[in-house]
Amino acid sequence: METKFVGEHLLPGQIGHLFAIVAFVASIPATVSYACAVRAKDVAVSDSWRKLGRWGYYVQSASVLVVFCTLYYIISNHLFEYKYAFQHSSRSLPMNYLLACFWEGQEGSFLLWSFWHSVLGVILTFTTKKWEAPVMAVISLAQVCLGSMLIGIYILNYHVGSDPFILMRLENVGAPIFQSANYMQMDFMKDGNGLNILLQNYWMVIHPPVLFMGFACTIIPFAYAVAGLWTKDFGGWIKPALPRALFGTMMLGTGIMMGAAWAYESLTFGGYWAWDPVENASLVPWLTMVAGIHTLLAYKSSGHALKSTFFFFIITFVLILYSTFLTRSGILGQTSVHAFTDLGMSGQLLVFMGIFTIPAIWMLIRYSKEIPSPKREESTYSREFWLFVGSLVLLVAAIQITYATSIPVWQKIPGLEKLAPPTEPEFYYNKIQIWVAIVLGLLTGLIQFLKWKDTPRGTVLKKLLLPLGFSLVATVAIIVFGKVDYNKYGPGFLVAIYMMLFASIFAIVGNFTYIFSGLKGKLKAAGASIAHIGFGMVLLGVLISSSKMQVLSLDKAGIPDGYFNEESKQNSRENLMLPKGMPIQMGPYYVTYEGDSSAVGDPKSYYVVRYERKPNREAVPTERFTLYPDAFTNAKGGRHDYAEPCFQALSY
Amino acid sequence: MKKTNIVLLVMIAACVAALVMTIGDFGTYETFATASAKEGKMYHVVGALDTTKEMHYDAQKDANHFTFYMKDKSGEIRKVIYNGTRPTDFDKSTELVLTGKMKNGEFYCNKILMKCPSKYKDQQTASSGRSV
Repeated sequence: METKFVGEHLLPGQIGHLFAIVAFVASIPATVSYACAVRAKDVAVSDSWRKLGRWGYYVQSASVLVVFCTLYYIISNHLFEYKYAFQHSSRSLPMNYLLACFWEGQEGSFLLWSFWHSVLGVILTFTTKKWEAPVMAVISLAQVCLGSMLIGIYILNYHVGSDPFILMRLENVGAPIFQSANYMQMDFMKDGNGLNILLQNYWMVIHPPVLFMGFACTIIPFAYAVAGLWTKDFGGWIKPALPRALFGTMMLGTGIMMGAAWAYESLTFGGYWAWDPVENASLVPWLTMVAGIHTLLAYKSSGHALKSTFFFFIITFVLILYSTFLTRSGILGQTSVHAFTDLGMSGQLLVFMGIFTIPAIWMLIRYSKEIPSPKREESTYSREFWLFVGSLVLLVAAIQITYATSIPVWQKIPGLEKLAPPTEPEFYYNKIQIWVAIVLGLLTGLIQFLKWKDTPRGTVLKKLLLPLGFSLVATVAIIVFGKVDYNKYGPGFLVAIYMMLFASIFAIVGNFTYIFSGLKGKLKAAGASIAHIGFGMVLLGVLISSSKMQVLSLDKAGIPDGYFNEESKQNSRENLMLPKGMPIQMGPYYVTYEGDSSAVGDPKSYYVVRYERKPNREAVPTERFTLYPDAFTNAKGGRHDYAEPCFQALSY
Repeated sequence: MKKTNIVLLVMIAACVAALVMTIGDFGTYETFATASAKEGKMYHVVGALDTTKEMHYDAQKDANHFTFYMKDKSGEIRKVIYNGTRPTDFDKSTELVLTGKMKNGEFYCNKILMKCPSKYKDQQTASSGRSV
């Protein structure tokens, strides 16, 4: 006899699951109709196919929206009979973190991605005009793939997707607790597992939507590039693709930086960037998309570099899919601190990647002879030539990062099972990428001074004298007065740091000069220069913050273990015990742990730590401030995260 | 030959050179046995916390000294010394990836990556990687 369960709310789950299936199914005719619209010779026939495709897409978009709202309803109403709510949320969570619960799980973040595709797709149906059919066919196909991740049904004994609306009792059929009809009344079901404390941070509310918006945007230039190959209008897609690619780069870049801000606050690796595989996986597509934008501009003004533009936009989306595979297949388990866990969808993710990669690359190879390119070679004194070089440098960076990030993939190759990431991953990446940064910084400052096609000899150097001279003076000044003397990795690396310092200052100064000398101060035309100044500032900021990073909370007393000493270039005694009320010397400061407070219902403890800068214990402090670090403290152990919050706040 | 092709070749050469030259920087996953065969070399060792043996951490005495025992994949149990604070929820971890080196039969590690099960079933969350 079937048990009648009491107290469940089954309707939201049924609605959600139903519409997840509707979204998946509706995206199939949308794809097919749009594809037929591309193939149809007759204008009227093509038009009617296109309209059909459009309606299919609208239905799928509306369904995705319903699924999205339903899942949020379940989480926000604490319906813990649903596994998703049970696993990712709890009653004590503040309202704003309920959204973070939404995207903590794989299903929720797929849904978020799918949601942005839907929004962007609907906008595109209004704005793409003659490119609608091929572009939307590609996006609809992506929605078929994404939709399949959320349906959670069996097709030919293969479990397709993961249903976010699954009930706890169905996921754990054997568990004794779910044999009781009244299981909802039991204590166990009263509250959920809660959100991972690392994700209980306001950046986790805003970072994933922005990042996934960036992810979703990468399909647009890809779809345009594929549309160009498909319709054999090899050059026509360039113009509409440019603003959309720029928007995507902005969103993805913002998402990455928000992730860095979150890592800085929540993770304990003491910084905003650790070359973690998950971080790399979103940085690499950004690099290739930026490269694509630059070759696109080169093509627009000179006719060169069309093939590379195709390549960069195609590879960008392929890399997005690859990074999705890396972060969601569970393959990164041993190497990353924050990859998703395996849901058994690796196969499906690989298929998703293949569906887009193989036809796109195949078309590019097949039509590569037909893609127009000028007979005449570009001049070494032309802007397009150096844009091309710069894009290749970005590609080199992308290849190196991908190569090292993919170690868990290489492990699957017989004979390489024991391969592990470098034991010092940060330095491993830094020592290579610093050269990339140097070249990019210099090119960023230089290229705008070159003219398209050809530049009269001698004029460039004259214009560059001032910014070069100024940058050199500024670099020397910063080195001398800012005491940049990072020697942890020897003098060779320090020289590279000096070079990068110069390159990033030159990127800023060069572009600043160009706004006045090249553009005569017309700010409306200065978008690129301003973006480049920003890029230069990022390089400069990264450089200074990493080379000047200093841990203050070194424990100089303690037990000498003589193991991690100077010559092993590791100082592991980074934690200092702060007894309450007793000033302890920490770098130039005397630090006193004044007290802490916590409140019922708030898992955090708040600390008061006073800093006084003075040469010795008795002297009059020259500087005084108080920091209020907080930490999630485990009630059972009562352990405090001692000096760690302080040292993070004080790293620079 | 076109200039762009030359540039392309130079870049490819640079790539290959960079990749080949740095391949030696890659680590390997080893067991305690291989790590003790080459004392002083950095290795990653995968294993699980031995809960039957004692864990020791006393911040009052030394905030940078945490010791525990880990059983590696081959079943060998060794004492591990970590120069840092005890990670939160350490005893709940199901798998540990340690980065460090062997010295006098003890494993000195400077980085712990641990995996913890969530309260429910086989769901796992990787957390708390900390390098020194």
